[in-house]
Amino acid sequence: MDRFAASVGQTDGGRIVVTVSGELDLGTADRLWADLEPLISPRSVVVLDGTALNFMDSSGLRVLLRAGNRAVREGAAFRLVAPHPAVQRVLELAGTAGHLETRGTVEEALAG
Amino acid sequence: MQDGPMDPDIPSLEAPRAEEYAGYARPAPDGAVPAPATAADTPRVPSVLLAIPADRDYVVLVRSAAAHIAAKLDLGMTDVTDLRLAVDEACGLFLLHPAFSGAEDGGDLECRFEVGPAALRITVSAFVPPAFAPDQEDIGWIMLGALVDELGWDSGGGVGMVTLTKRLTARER
Repeated sequence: MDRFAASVGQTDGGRIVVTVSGELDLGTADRLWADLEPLISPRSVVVLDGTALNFMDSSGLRVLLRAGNRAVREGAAFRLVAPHPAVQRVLELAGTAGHLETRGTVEEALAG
Repeated sequence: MQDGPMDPDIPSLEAPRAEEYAGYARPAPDGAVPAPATAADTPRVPSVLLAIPADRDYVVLVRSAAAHIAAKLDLGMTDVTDLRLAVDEACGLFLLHPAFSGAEDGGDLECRFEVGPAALRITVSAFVPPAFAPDQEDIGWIMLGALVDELGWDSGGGVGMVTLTKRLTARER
């Protein structure tokens, strides 16, 4: 079993949900970026469902920030759902409130 | 396995003689031992030394060790979360640094957890190239500063060392 997994799905409306689970750290963050980068194109809506993510470090955070920046540049949307306290702690420490769009649930993230 | 008395034909285990263990004695780390604790505040968590390959994929072992030691110290959930993250970031200061050569050269990261009378001290060390120093503008270093009570960097003799200190309250030690 891998300690990090990511899978890409699409809703009927063409919105993209990337579901991740496990530990997003310095050993796995590059894999997430490889998945995310091609998905963030003009007018795309990409939701990162990190409901099953239980750890993230600054390497993981850098990928999320890079995805958020790319979304702004491309005129896309990138939204994060990651309720685990260990992930929330990193967002809080890094003060990312103004740099990353976060939502409480995937439904909310897809709605806008 | 049965719970009753052991078979009388099997000799009881004898305590090992000291000399049998002599070869396993680990030399004291130079200058890295906290001041000797008095009997009243002798820590109940032993020191732990963990060496991992200098490879990003093995940092998970250091996080596990930190979480276990934090739990043994009865730290709260927030402190356990913070310590796991802190050791991860400390390893990252080496492993993510462009000048760090890592496991290709057979290097490893050594992580030492020591519970002193008033603090848990964690050191992460590795062989580093000359003039190597962590980027103190980096988000990893900045987060580390917020995660522990004291954060330090030292180097000498080709070895770089990050020191994290987490103060313990009377209840925790």
